[in-house]
Formats: sequence, C-alpha cells, structure tokens
Amino acid sequence: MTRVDVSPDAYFDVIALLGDAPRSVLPMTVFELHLYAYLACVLGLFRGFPAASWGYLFAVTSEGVPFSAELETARRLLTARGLVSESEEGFIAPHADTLPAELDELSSLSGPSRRRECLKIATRCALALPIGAVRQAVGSSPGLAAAAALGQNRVLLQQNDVSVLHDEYEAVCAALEEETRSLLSPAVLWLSARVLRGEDAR
Amino acid sequence: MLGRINVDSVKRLVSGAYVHRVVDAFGEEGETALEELLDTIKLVFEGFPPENLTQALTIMRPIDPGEDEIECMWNRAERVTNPTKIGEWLRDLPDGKYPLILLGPDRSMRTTSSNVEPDPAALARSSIVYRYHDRLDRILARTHDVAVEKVVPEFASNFANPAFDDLDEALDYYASIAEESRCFLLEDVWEGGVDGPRLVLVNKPERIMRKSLSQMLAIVLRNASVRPEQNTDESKPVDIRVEWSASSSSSLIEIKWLGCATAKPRKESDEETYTRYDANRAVRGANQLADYLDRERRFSRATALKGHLVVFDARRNHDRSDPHTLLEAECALRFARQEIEYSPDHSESRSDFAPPRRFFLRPRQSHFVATA
Repeated sequence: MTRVDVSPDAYFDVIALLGDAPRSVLPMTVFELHLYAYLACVLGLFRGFPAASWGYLFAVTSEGVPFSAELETARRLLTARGLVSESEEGFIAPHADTLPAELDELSSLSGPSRRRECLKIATRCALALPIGAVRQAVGSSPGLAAAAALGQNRVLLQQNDVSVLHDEYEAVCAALEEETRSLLSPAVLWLSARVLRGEDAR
Repeated sequence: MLGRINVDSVKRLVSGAYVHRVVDAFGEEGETALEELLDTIKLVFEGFPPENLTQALTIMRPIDPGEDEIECMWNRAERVTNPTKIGEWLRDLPDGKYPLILLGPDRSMRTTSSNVEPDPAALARSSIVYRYHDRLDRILARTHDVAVEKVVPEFASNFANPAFDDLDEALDYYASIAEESRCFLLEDVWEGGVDGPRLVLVNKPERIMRKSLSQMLAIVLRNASVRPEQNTDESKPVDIRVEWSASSSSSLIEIKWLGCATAKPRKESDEETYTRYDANRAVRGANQLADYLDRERRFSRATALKGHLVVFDARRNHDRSDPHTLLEAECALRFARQEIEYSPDHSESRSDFAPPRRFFLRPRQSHFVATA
C-alpha cells in the first residue's frame, strides 16, 4: 500500500470545515471547500495568525480560484477512509456516523483554537451572503484577481497581498468604529465591500 | 490600485452591518442565535424562493423564550416535524395570511399565520426578527432595525441562493432577469437608460451583454468556472467558456444580439446612424458556433464540449427613419413570441450543439403609445 503524506493542518481543516458547516452550506462542492479553507486562512491573518504558520500553501489556478494541493490530498484521504462522502456530481458532505467523532477527538487534543474559529466563520460568511458572492469577493481579492486576469498559476498570500489585506481589514474595522470581538461582522463587511467594488467598477 | 476595496462602499455598508447590531443588542448569545436564524432563512428559501411570497414573511428566533408573550405564541404555533416541508406550508397558505416561523433555541421550528402582519418591532424586543417583503430584507434586534443591502441586486433576497448545477437551468434563471433588464449591468444596454422606452440599444451592446451574462453565471453556477471571452484560436473568440469541475467538460457560449443599436458616427458632424440586425444574424451565429466547436475539438482537453447560442433579442417593428419614435404595443412587441428558424438546425444534427436560446428584451410598457 502506498504511503500518503498528509498535512495534519489540512486534515484538521477538512474535518472542521465539513463538521462545523451550517446545514444550508452542505453539501458543498470541492471548489467551495478550497474557497472556505482559503477564506479561513485570510481571516486568520486578520486575527494575527501569519500565513506562514497556517501549515500549508494556497495557489491560484488558471481558472482564478484558490486551491491547495495539501488540502486536496487530505480530502481524498478522508473520502477514502469513509469520513467524507462525495457524489457523482462532485458534492461533498461529512459522513454523519464518523466525522463528528473524529472532529471531537482532534479538537480535544488541541483544545479550543483560533484556527477552528476562523474555519467556522468562513462557512458562516455563506449564511450572510450568497455563496456566489463569496466566491466573487474572494476571486477579486489581492493576489487572485491579477493572476486570474493574466491566466497565471501563483502562490497566494505573498508579502504584498498580505499587506493589502491588512490595510483593507483595518479600513473595515475603522468603519465599524466600535471594538468588535466578533470576526463574522468585519468578515461579512469585507466580503460585501469586495463584491460592491466590482459593481462600482462597471 | 488594482483590486482595493472602496472605503466609501465600506462606509455605506456599515449602516447595514446587522451582525454588529445584533451583537450590540443581545451580546455573544445573539451572534450564535443569528447564525441559526440565517441558516434557517437559507433553508426556507431553498424550499420556497422569496420571489414566490405574496405576503410579508417573518422568521423570529427568541432570545428569551420564557417571556410570557413569546411562550404563548410558541405554544399556539404548530410544531414542524419535517423542516423540508416548510416550502409546502408556505405554498399552501391561503391568500391574505401572513406567515410567521418561530425558531427555538434547540433549532426546532414552529409555524403560524395570521390575517394581520405581526409587528416586527414589537417582536424584536426579546427576539432577533427577520422580515422579508417585496425584495427587501430587514433584520431587527431590540431597537435596531436594519435594511440589509443586497450585494447581488438581481437576487430577490440577500439570503436567497439561486444556485444551479446545470447550465440550462442557469440560463432559464438569467432569461427571467434579462426580460425586464433587471441585471444592473444590462440596465446600461439601452439608449435612454432602463427607465426609457427601451427601443434602441447603445453602441456595441455585446460587451455589456457578455459581462452581464458571465457575471451572473459565475455567481449562480456552483460547480463550474466561468470565464468571459476565451479564444479557440487567434481569430475566433467565443464569448463565454464554462468549465465543469466534476466532469472536465466545457460549455462554450456564443452571444448575438438582434435589433437596432446606435452606431458611432465617423465625424462629430455626422447624423446619428444605426446598426440593425435581424434573425439572419442569429442563423449566422449558429453556423459560427458550429465552426468554433469543430476548431475547439482539435485543441481542447475537455472530454465533452457543448456549444450554446444565446440571442439577446431587442427587435421592434421600428420606424426605419427614426427608431426612437415611440411605438404602439403591437409594434413594440411584434417579436416577443416570434421564434427564429435555424437552417440548418445544428441542435438537431449534432449532439454537441444545444438548442439556441432567445432572450427577448422587453420594451417599457409605460412608453407605448395608444393605438390609433
């Protein structure tokens, strides 16, 4: 049997994204799984979690969507192990009998984490906005839009991208004026502003 | 700078930042309850699209379910044993009844209806309240009453999620938007604006049509990437390419428009001239697309390729000398139901050619002149 190297962070992220996702967000497409994981990584930046500590990398594909090879390897492994189900149409969902127990076990080892909070909030953004708008907002964010326009594959969250993202998050928090412990409110505001930016540019 | 958010957009959005207001009203418990409420709204609209609601819909999540008035309302309401049946309940509600859905802290649901609309402000004293009516979403919590700004203006609700796995269904959805030019991009396709008579298209309208259709498809197609204007080779562009992730198949969309558009005058002093296209243009478009498909097959890695011809039909029975002249209903709508005959009909002779689609762009009825 071939040994598969799996990033423990990517493995946890697939389980947490699917296990904590609201009912209306499931089943999700493989595109959406990568989108939420990338959004969680960006939200982690907003919470002071350096991209270099996220544990695995994201790249933009020639279709202009974020993708992580490590996350995909973890997803395939979890599908093979029966914790994730995948339909013929490409929709994935947690296996109700096995995935919650795995999530509980992994979480009990690591305790409550900022990482899991970011992953949770990423899927909750799709409660506040249509999923297509989340996709559009992330697709127009620093690093993705320019690469997609040029049809380039490149690693995401490079230094310049991170600097612009921090500036944008500060602008959003300044507009909210009050101190907020919630990440959902600024996250939704940031995504909404990204979609409206596209509208302003018509 | 490329891609930066607009600070003015952010400031405008803050007034509709309902998550913030709910947390202000009910603390962290409010945020969790709001997430449950939003999840429920999405599930309700999956089973019953908001466009189909004739009366205001209220969905509430009590924060203090023990309060007398709330407890009384909860006890009177009917328990929902199967949440997927909410759509049927809404559909079967008699005319004039206002639906109210209550969501319990354990995520159980109850439904009730009344002849008088529940007062959302009164309910919001101890609950988070969602109210939908006539394409407007409101979220109320204690004294906060927030009108939610729609990030996709074409959608009836910010919490509705028109999402399709099939291009034909997505094109059906777009047709319903295009008919009255309800897409904010397509609004710009008319000389005189969308509130004008909608008789003459602007110069080079295909750019706007392509952008409008590709943006909407990118938003509503879940398992595909949508890219405007890809080249099959250097000289033959198609307008939109859709790549399906689950099947490595691709769809090519060719757009044509029919009707009358202003042409750019060669000199400033020149009189206004027009470009006019009739049904023959659609037939030529079909032949072009068949040719594209043949070429693409040589270069593409896609295992399955399908071509779709989309025709934006703005034809009117115009006055030839001045197409801006207002028309009687009969002339304005002459082509509304007149389908185009394709010869040859590629959709009959080849399996990779979908039946052509025609989106009739309706003129504005209030600008029709009375029949003599």
